[in-house]
Amino acid sequence: MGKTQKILGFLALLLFIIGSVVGLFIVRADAAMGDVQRLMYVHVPAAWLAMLAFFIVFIMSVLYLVQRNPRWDLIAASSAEVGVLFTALTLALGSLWGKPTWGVWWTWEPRLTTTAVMLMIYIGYLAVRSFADDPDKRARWSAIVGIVGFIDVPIVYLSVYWWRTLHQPPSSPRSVAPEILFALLLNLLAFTVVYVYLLMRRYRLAVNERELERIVAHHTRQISHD
Amino acid sequence: MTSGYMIAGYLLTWGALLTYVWRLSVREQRTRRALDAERTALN
Repeated sequence: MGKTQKILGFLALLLFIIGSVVGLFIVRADAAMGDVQRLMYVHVPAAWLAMLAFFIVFIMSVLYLVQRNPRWDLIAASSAEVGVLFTALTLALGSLWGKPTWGVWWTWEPRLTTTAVMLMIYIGYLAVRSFADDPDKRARWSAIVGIVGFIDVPIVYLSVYWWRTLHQPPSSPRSVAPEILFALLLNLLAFTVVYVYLLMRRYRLAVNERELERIVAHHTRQISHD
Repeated sequence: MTSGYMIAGYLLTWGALLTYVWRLSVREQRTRRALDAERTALN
């Protein structure tokens, strides 16, 4: 593990601890919703970071198709895996928030449904990668999924404006109490650093996996020649 | 009343992220070991 990665890991842990302490103990509970509103400090940043992760997948997929540099493919794959983690977390946290406020764990409401579709798309992206043996083919196929699949991400964001149903649209910073906004932004920063740290570690692993795959293929070719 | 959901949510968040980091460490070690073995076999 490199020095930068270690420092980033320490910073991510520190910020995450501070963010959780502020969200759980420092900021006052919401008068109407009570303690469950504190889930906002993890649910909202997880959702934002999931979307950012898939935006990175989109950009890296475009770059791969234009330049055919395997580095862009490996960054896209790493970001997709971390994005899947954040999306699953967003849905689970939303469900925990939904039960005491809406009375249900799950409902086929537009924001929830489009988010579930987003999770399925990127699980599909990872599945496509595991099906293809040839690295170039794998990178090409997954780049196409990474670009086409991104169509759902703005739909997730806009769903609360297009169909005004159960899930509320994002609050404006002007309509939120300053301490709530502070806790939210602090946790958003913590989640962003965690994302960058996880992406960096996953990318390094992907580089090593690719190298291993290359050596094994070379080895197999040598054996078959002999 | 709703604090149970809140505690469950924070435990889930911490649990999910720490589990992912632990799984990454396991995969990193396994890949590094396999790489070393393959390189030795090639030489």
